[in-house]
Amino acid sequence: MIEAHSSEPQRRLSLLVVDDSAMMRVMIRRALTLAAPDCEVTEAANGFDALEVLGARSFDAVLTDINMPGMNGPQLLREIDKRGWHHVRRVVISTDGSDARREEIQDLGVMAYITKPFPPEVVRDLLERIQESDNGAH
Amino acid sequence: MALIETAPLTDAVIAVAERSFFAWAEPAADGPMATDGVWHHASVAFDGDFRGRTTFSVPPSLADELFRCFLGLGPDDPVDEAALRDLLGEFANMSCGSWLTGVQGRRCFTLASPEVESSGGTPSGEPTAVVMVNDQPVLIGVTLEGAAR
Repeated sequence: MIEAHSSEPQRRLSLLVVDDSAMMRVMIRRALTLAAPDCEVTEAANGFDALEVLGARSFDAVLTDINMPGMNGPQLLREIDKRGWHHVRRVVISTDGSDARREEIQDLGVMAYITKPFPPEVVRDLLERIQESDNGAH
Repeated sequence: MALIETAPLTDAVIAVAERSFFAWAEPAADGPMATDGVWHHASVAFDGDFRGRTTFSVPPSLADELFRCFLGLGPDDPVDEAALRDLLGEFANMSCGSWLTGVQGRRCFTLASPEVESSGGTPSGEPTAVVMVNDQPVLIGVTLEGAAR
């Protein structure tokens, strides 16, 4: 069996998971670390907490739910734009898989929209895309 | 939507049970089942092309099993009640969202935060559908309030 290896070194990814459900954060963290065991995952329970964390340090990507109390996912993504944090890749993870919602969210500059429940390969593909876009940017 | 098709509903619950909870699930065969004792009821109100509420009733033994499996807990490890309710709420949230995505197609919908309560017995009346998860029943109830748009 021939294995393909990328010529670009894989950098350790730093990811911020934003969801008001602690159990959902556990689920997403598990999927991320299964796909990339060395990735660093930080958690926030809502948009306000996420902004505080994003303001304190740099992340490769923020993975956010849509429906959250206080500041929801779309509000968080708009605020990230307003603050000029354009380097942070944006991923939405939601139970709403409707085309209309995907289109609405796409306008907020998201690189991926993942519908819950998701199979593990979706997360693996996402992390590969983040790595690739990172390699392309350097 | 006057009559609810059960197949998209059961498919949604099976997908959630298998993908997110690593459980084995299938539609239940017709026939009587024991519904006495305390059950957990996780419900989610929705609004979109149509408005209503889905309720997923789960026996405590299944809730406990799913929770321990999900967090990798042993049989003697304590179960955090708040975390258990959070998990059941997410089970309901994902199941309802997955069902609506399948039946509504293009249109957006909104889901309220899940509500989880425990009470003796199951909701009165026939469930809309029943799914067996790890050989234990999950009763699914859907109530519609009429066209929202």
